[in-house]
Amino acid sequence: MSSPAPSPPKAYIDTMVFIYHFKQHALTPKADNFFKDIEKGKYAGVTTSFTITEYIAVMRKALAEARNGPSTSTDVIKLRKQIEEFISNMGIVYFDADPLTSGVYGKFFSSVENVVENAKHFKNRRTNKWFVVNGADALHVVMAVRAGADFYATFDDDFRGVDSWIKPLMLFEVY
Amino acid sequence: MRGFEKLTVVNANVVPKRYFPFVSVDDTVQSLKKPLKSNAQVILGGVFNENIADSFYNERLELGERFTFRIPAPFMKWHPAKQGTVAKFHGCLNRIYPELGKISDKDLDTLIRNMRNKEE
Repeated sequence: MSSPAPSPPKAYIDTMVFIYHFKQHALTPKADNFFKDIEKGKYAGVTTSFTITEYIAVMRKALAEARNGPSTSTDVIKLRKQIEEFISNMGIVYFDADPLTSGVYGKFFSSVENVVENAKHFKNRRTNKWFVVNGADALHVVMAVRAGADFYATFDDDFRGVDSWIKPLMLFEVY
Repeated sequence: MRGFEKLTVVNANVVPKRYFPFVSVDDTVQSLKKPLKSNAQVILGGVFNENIADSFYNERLELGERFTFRIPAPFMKWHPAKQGTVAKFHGCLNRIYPELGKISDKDLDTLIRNMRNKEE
């Protein structure tokens, strides 16, 4: 009996990567190329229910601004169905954020604090701005590590300084 | 009772319905007695040590030490992607919601930055 094929290196997918793939944007081609690599089997995508939460929150705001009116519960269902179908079809490893952040596997927020306190600063030479992860970013870093991810795929410069915990995959440079 | 006001109780202990087409397991209602699932011990190049609370500092990692720790099982495991998925979902929100065309790249970037309370 043949054993199942080993999964490729795991890349935790940051929320904006999904958003740029689904909503037309100057970065959409780069997000597409990353997802094409997942489709080809170069990476195994990893995500959590918290990423879906952030995605829905951003798109509800975008819809409200575009309509100058509130989003509806039907919008939420549509948004959720669409991203979950994508995750399923792409073979992306999906973690429920509840067990992933559970104290059963060690103190979660202490790890988040540690990332915030020890992450490196990064200066963008072009814009002269300084970057470093904030608390919400650090939540994702710890979840990514707990999920066993090898890379953190993002378009956000703030994540450059987390390489002590996980290797950042800066998609605007790689693609 | 004097000094106390009746508070409106909002039940926050509910989870959203999920629509994953390939999953039939409903984990939204779990027995409190049911232990959390865990997969085997794994080695991930070292980030945690035995006490995760003080292990996220990377000094021992820099010394090349490797640690093991338990991680929860995923809700959905990896499988090869269904070919054509990227093309199918490319820009799909613009087809479902044409009004999103009014949201410029800059507007979207601002919404994404605000998602994690970042400056514009």
